[in-house]
Amino acid sequence: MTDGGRVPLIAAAAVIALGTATTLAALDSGLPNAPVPTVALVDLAAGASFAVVGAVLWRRYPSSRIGAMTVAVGLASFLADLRWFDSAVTWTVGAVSTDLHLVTLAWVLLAFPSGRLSSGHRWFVVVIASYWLALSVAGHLFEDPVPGCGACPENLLLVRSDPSLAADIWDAGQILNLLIVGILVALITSKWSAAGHPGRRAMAPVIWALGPIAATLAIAFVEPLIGFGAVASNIVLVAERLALVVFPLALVAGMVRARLDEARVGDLASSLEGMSAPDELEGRIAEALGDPNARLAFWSDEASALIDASGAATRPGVGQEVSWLTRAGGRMGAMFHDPNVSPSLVDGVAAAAGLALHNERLRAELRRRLAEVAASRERIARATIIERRRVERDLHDGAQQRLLALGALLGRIRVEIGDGRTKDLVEEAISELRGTIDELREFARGIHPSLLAERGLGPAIEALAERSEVPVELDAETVRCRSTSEMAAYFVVAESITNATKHASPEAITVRVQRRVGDLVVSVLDDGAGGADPGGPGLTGLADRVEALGGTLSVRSGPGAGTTVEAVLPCE
Amino acid sequence: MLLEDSILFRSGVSRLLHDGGMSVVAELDTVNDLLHRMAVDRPDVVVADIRLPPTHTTEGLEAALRVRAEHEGVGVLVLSQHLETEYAVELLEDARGGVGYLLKDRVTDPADLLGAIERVAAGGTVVDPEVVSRLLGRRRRESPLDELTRREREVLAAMAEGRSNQAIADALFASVKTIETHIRSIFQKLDLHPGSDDHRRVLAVLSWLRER
Repeated sequence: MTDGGRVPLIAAAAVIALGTATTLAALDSGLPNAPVPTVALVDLAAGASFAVVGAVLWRRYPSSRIGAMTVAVGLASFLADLRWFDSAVTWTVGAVSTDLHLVTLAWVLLAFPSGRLSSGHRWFVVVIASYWLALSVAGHLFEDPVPGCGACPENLLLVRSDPSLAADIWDAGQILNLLIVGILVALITSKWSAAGHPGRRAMAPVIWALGPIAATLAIAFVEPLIGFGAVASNIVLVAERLALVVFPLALVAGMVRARLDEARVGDLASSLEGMSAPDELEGRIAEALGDPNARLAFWSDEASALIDASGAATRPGVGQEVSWLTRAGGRMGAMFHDPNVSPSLVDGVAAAAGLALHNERLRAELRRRLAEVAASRERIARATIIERRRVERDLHDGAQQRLLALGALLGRIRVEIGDGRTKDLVEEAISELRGTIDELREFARGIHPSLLAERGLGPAIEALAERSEVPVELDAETVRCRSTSEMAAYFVVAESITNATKHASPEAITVRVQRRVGDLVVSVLDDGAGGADPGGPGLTGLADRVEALGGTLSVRSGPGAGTTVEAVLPCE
Repeated sequence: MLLEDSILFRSGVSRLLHDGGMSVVAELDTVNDLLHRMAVDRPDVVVADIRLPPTHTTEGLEAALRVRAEHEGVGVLVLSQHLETEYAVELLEDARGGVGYLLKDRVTDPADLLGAIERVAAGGTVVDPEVVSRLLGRRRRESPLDELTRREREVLAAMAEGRSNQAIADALFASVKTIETHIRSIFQKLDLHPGSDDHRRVLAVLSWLRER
């Protein structure tokens, strides 16, 4: 248990002592308007309840002002009872302090559970406190003697006795009271609707407990209009005080629900020790904060940005507060959470999660870099394809057309000249030229097989099969995928057929092209000698191409058992 | 009429045709120009590159099919830098005769090219020997082709190139009757049922070769 020191205990003891003294004075005063013993005792119980509960909360949650404020409510409720002492000063202070406890109660309600008021609420509390003071003082300037108070001590505030003016002031006050209650209800409603999950959890018991108080206050308000009679009026007073006796318990319940800080932080710390999957960290932190929507972000020094566990850039959701996490002066990351989560809980969670956070951050940074590398690899692969297409186009439109024009010219020369030595030379030139054109054509095809882009994998592999020295069986579904994947698949097939033909002397090769869910799957099987080395430069090059696009390449090859090369590539 | 976007090659072919006694009524470089000019120039034959603007893929192939569909009696010879049996079959399947598919390299043998243009103009079918030899040369595990004699393979190849029985007989120095006997034997061995005309015969043989 956190020890808030002796101050709360002394404060509570002082308040209760004051309460006891004023109660005894009330019972002893013999004044006609003094409370009957039952009402006086319940009154004492209500004030004492606030003082005791306030002291407990004060000690238990020293960082929240709610405890001290609750003690103040108890004090306020006893200040009004000072008037039962037979002294002009105490009587005047007590008379003016009537209903002060309701003002302090409004203060507690608006500040619950953190003990801090938002600036708008602070204004409201200042305004109602000033109003209350002004009204109370104004009334007493003209009221003497107080109705029903035969032998009251002297009213020090009295300017002149004008009971009808005083009555007017009290009536105006009643109307303004209604207005204030209306505003208070509106503020609490808006606070409730703005609160996130943790805030509402804390506010709920308090709001429930307000019900009986509101009801008894409403009855007390209409009572003078209807006139219940003395007994009934006392019953209403007792009920109102009883509702106040119970109310602090609701504060306790709310605080407990809001602030299981130490328990949650403790749970978090011990649960992190046994944490096997690091991805759970975010969930555990959300649980500890009591905010299911809480998220964890890590600071990437390299990207100068917040990233999530997968390494992707991230930002807080709408209405979420950002609490930075630091370690040794440097940024580690941030928690995005509901603004109603108390700062001390946030600090506790951050401290408990420190080491795990550090590890997880390194992991996130690694994932971010991996994603960056993967993206850059894919960009390079894409750029390579575009570059290859451009080179092939240039060849086609440039050198190849020139050679063909030369071919047409030589063809015409051959027709023009008769038989003889020159014709033989021209024939030789033509044959050389055709050899050159053929070589260039094969070169261009190797750079960028245009049939692939134009008609897809099936026809392109069919064309490979036509040229193969080993019989190739093709079992191809008609699939069209993104061009980079088709290109990689094509090269896997082309290379695998070449490798098998060169090294494994197979009887036959089978090529399969399938669409498997979102993937393009190509496999090349041969019945040759096997023993292909997946670490060799050829297969490594193929694997690089496939993996650059986010695919996988697998090779199965046993001596005498043939070789199977399979590539799985993203299709869309 | 010539359809080719490389001016250098186009003028080479144009002169070659001119030397061969043919007249080139127009030299164009886009399919749209061609379709506009067809009605005006009324060519006997269109010689088109397969790869044309704007995408530089197979515009020439689509142009050939449109000309065949819209202008009766106009033959189309498609030239290509490199041959794909895929395109030969696509062209033959849809054109119903009067089409040819040749490698651009054939310009080195003007007589060959002129002969092909004449055959296409006459409604015949021309397939580049390269396509046929690639199909015939494709390695297979077991094939009825193995049962053919050498002579029969020669006749099959000539048939696949779109030659008529008379042309095959001339080329192989044999009588038409002998060639017809070979052809019957081939069809029997391959279990092939060719259509009535030369074009369907070419298509049947090419498809057969491609599917085995």
